[in-house]
Amino acid sequence: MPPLLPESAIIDEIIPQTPDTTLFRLLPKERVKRLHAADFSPGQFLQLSLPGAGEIPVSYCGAPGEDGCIELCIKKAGHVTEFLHSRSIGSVAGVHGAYGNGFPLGIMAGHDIVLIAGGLGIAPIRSLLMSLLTRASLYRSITLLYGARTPDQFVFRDELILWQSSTALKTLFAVDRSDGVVSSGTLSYTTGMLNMAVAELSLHEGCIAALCVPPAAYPGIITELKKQGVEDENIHLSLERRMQCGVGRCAHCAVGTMLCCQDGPVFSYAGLRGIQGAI
Amino acid sequence: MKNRRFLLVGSDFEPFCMALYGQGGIHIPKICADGGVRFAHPVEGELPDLSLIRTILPLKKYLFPPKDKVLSYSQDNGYQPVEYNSGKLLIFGVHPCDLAAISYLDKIFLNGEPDAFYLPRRKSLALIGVSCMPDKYCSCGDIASPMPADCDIFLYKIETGYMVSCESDEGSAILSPLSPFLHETDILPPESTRDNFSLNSVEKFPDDLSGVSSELQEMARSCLGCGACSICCPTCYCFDLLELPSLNGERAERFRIWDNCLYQSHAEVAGGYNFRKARTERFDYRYRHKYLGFGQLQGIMSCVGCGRCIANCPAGLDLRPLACKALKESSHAATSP
Amino acid sequence: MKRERVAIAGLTGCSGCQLTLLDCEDELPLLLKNADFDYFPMASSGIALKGEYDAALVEGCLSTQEGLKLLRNLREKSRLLVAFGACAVSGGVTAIRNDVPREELSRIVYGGDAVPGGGFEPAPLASAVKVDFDITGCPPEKADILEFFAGLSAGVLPIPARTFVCADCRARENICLLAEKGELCLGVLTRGGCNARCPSMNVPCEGCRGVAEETNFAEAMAIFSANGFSADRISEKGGRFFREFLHEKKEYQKTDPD
Repeated sequence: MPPLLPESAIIDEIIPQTPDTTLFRLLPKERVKRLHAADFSPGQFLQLSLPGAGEIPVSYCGAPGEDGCIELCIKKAGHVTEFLHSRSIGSVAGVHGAYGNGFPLGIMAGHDIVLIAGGLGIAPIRSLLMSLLTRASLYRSITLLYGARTPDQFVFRDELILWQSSTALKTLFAVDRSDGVVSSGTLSYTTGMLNMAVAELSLHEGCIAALCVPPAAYPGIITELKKQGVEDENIHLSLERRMQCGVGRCAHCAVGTMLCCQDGPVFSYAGLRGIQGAI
Repeated sequence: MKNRRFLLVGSDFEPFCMALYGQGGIHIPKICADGGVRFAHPVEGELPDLSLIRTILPLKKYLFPPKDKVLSYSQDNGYQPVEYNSGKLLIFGVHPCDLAAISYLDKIFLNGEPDAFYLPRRKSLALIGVSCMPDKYCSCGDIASPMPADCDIFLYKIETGYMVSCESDEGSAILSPLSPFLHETDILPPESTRDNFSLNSVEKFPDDLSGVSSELQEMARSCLGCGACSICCPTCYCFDLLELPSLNGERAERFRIWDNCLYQSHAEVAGGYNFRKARTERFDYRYRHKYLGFGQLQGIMSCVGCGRCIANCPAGLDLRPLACKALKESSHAATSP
Repeated sequence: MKRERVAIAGLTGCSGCQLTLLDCEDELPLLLKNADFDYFPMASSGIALKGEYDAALVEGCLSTQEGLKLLRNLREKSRLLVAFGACAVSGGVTAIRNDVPREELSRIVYGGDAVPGGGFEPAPLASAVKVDFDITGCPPEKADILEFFAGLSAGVLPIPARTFVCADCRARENICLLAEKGELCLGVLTRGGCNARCPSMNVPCEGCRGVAEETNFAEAMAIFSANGFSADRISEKGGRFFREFLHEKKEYQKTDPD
């Protein structure tokens, strides 16, 4: 299959998360087939096509699974995503992937794992967390830190509530401002910037951190992590860039001289050291 | 005839060309009616003007058109690739810089899974190179390119006419019927600009531009942001994907269109965040792409020194002095105690 | 498939934009298959404005009370209000004398005794109502009009072109009218997407598609000036479609020896 050719999928479920963010579940159009794009590892992305609107890169937000279902959590923020939000169940979509490097699951066993998500950065972090939780005993500990602008901006709220009471992981939810409408009292959160919340974690050497936060939030959080002794090699970041083709050819997404779509989107902080404009 | 050299005397040039034209589709460099220099089809009996320095567009126009339909969508068949089967086209009179640029584009589009739209077009091209004399905009003599100036046949200008070098099997097939005009020789080709290509020991450009920040800012201040430089650059290949629905909304077509790293939208993501909002950041990006290389092509300089970016800039900008100064500063820093 | 209800109206302008739509002869049958042009006085008389519209395309500028009333009416009845052509988008040609007081214009055009006719200074549609989409150009490209209608059917509006006329022109391998022929061509400032229609016919760009996403006016002015064009000449030409030139002119007059 040429790398630019999308496979046909249909939107099987649409689950609104916030007024502008929605979870879409995609299945192959021909149910007997399995989508190539359904085989991925957490942190990778796919190219999602909406006929007539175009193509965008989207991080997987679900766990790679037997059922071949693809979960994507998408915010209404541009040409294609606005169109997507006008689609209904049964609408056709194209998918191709998986692309890029995911989080280094292989090196995580036996370590304390801290996952940090800001805003829609929860999408790839959820994918990673779901994978970790399938074999939670492999890891020394799992901590999820998730920040949203306001309480009503939390997505996957039902899952957050479950995770909050689970013994398999520690959770910490933070909001920048608490003036949003709180729809449920069962989710507890603190108020303050994400890096302040990081400061409250007690991490130690050997801890592996996986981050996906808005571009402006990286420096503060990384400073905090380093302060707590987390090694550069153990900080893994999922970077956002404008990716058009996903296959290293369109030349939009360079980070230094690396390409986000091929050398990333997950980079180790050690690999980004000294690269101007990387974070 | 591959790897052999022949003399083509000046008086045989015209019949040689006419016999070559007889082989099928051919484009030559020429001054067109409006005064523009382009690769185009010769009119009856027109000879290639091998003294012309640069065409407005390089050969990428044949390999990677400005707007290229790549996919079509229908409700029944989903997305399907558009298939291109171009007929053979011989391009006669390509300078080493433009040949080197094709070697670079080949690395982008043919490495790994070959690009389905570039590959058939590339296969359809046969290339006859020709030596040339650089002008004030050329930099092939100052900063040599690591890219090989590969072609099927190469013509070295000599006093009595041309030395014709057969460089490939395809070149051999083209030259065989032309042998009455060719006299084999074992004289070595004269020194020429081609010697500035395919060099292994190319200078390593620094990735830190702080030493030239004032030059960078000056460029950004004067840049109109129109993107003419990228359009004319033989190794600029940034593209965008654009999808257009059909009038009834049931079908769609996807196009690959040339993009431009000097445009503000080049680094803008959904929601409006821009990774290169300032023009200086875009020049920095351009420098990195041209002199340092991205991804799998890290370490490979892509500027082949054709001078089109300078010749076509309405503001007269020139990235070369900045790159040279950065290089000089970094080697100075490396050697100073 | 749902049929779109469309209104096409003209305010103060030359009707060239509506004519360009009617010129899409090959595509009109398809257009009519997917849309009902329920209000289109230029193409079909005797139809009143009634009901609601999926889209209203409004050509021309605002310069009369009647026009304002029609525009507000259309805005109220339409899901999408589209500024159709340069006059509707920015004032265009209709606004080129906005720097001269209207009393003076009236005197110049109609003579000293004329009574001004009640209109007001030509203004873009967005000065009075919310505009959802611009179709730029004088007149717009057929392709832009058709892409809008295709997008309307598909449920996704087109993305405005990001190129410059200058880049489109190079991609067509034209000779540069500014650098090589010394003509006052505005392609270095103008939003592309027209495939450099005018420069390709040897006519310098007038800037009818409006300014590109990011322009460098100061540098463009310096280049025009270095090419020997006087400030008056530049602002006369540039002022047709770029309001920015009128401001530039004032700055310019301080230093220009002409």
